[in-house]
Amino acid sequence: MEEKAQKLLWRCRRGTKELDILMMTFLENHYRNAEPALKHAFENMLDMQDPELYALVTGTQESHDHYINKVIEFIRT
Amino acid sequence: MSKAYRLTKHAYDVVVVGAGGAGLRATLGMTASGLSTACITKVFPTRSHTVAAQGGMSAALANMGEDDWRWHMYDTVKGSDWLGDQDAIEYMCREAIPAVVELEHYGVPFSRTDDGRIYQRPFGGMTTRYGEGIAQRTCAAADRTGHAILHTLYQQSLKHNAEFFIEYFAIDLLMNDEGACKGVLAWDLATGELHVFRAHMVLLATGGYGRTYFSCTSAHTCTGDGNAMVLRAGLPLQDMEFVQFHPTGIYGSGCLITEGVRGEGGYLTNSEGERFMERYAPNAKDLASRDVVSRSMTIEINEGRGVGEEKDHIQLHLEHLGADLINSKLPGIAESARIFAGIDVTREPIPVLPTVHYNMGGIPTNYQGEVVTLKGDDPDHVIPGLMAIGEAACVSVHGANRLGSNSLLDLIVFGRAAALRAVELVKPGQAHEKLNDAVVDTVLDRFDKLRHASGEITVAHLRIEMQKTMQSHAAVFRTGELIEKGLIRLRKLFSQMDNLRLSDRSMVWNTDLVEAIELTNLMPQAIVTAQSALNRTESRGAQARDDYPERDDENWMKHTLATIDEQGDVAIGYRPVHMYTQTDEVEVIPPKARVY
Repeated sequence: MEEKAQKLLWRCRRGTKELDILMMTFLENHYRNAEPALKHAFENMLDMQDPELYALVTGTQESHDHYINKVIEFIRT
Repeated sequence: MSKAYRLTKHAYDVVVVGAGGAGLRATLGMTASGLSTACITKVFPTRSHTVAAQGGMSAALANMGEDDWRWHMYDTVKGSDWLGDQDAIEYMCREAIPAVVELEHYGVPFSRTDDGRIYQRPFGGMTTRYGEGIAQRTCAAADRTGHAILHTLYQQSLKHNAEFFIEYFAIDLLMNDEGACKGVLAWDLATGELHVFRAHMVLLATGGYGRTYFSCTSAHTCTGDGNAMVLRAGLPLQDMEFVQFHPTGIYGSGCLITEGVRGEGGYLTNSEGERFMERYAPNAKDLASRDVVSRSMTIEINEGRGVGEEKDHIQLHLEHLGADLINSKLPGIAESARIFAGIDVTREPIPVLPTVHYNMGGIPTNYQGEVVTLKGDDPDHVIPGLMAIGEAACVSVHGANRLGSNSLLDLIVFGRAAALRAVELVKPGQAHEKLNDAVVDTVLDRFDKLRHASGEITVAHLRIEMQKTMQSHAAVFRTGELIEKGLIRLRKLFSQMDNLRLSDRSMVWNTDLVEAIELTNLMPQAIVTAQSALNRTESRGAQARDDYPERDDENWMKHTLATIDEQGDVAIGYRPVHMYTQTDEVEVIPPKARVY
């Protein structure tokens, strides 16, 4: 795997097991073939705080960012 | 060897490894007192596993009714099944009060009562008047207590000029010939550079080692790196047989399904569709205590009545409750089950199994955070230059079983205590004595060997084999025969670490190599845990031996110490439980049966 993907893999290490799994799922299954805007949205999500991220991926909060919502759709299905 | 790697050198008064609640509290305390302080962490501080501690932090503030730290102490000693050191428990429960007030001043947004005081709620095992009433003792910042504490302490530490080395992986302690700790070697994952950190005091705040088991609630990062460094330094870990399980982790992922599900009428079944809890606990049934439910589930699986292809888990039913009740009383459960088990809880059961939740064992310390060991007749011999705090440490305040909301408290009180002690011991700006080159070379040799490992077995394969062995042989249900079988398997896996194959030889973001190092950290902890469990022929707290079902105070009211050599052979020693208090404000609580 190239350096950048490995860096992202490390950033998928979160404070909770739940987020570890969800963020890894997108990276391993969807990231490589995603369009650039989606990749960018995913990278931004990795910089979020864990409680905020968890609220987004479990659907208790919604993002105003169209691409982040698309990433979440991939993660949740 | 050191010629092959360029080393960047740093000198600090103190170095903290780990930036969870304990590491950050210690970092703040030391940097605010004028010690030059570095904090090395493999993940960003607010992504430490302390984030997952949502429940809260106990302290007898008496904001919601009568309370007394002595009652808190009683609850903690009883919860520990009399394996906790009473001087340390006294210290923790008394200091809990100023520790919470300090956190509030630093800016942790604790939830409040209408009249502006810190709100406190009840929590299992927390009582008033030595078991008579229910205490409201747990302070929380909504459902984000852990995160709020991390965020606040990190900001405060930065304000006081602590230096953070983030996404640096600590490889090993630098121990001199006299057995004192002189620093730590770390690897900057982003640049690939290696760094020697010299310090007069190294504090290990590296968390638990849940990942030795197949099913754990802990994040991927919980590999007990500090525990393993201590073992490699030839020092013991204490009470490693005491591992706390939660009965209902989702099969495969380990994500927690709250106990509230069974409170609302959820129930467990085996492969025959039988509600087996009726046999084990005819009255309480599915609402029996955590350890009873976990053990019953494990017996069902061991006797061949597990479900699934490998007959290795149990089913948790909510279907009969109906969508309306599930959504109103158990918000988030349907979503968790859908995401992490791929099932619709209104139609199908959730696959679950007992899941590792907390490690009571770890690096033995005194109540000031100094690492201690048994030397000659002295059970409290201090290792110069080394401290441990948080889940990595075994102070021991949790003894054989931890109470909910005492873990965040442990992080904060002993992070603070270690900082106070370090400030007493270390004068700012002292020169560092020269360290023999061989010390660094030995660490580099191990690193380099692993980096170039070209054997036949992958890290992932060996890790899952270890995790499954621990889950089936050293988890909730324990007998001598079962653990011995597990140990034979574990020793074989241990020897296979010489035959690992890594494909990536790079130094920059080499996550394969990180995971390989983490495996070499987990494996000795797995063996030490199983061996300590085999050695303790009694049942106490989280250790339930089917072949020794009773607590045996006469022979076993003592701490296990376990070291491991390079061949994977374990040596066992003991330290006495501290049956004394620090002051005459409280008396020792004598052992009695632990019944609730």
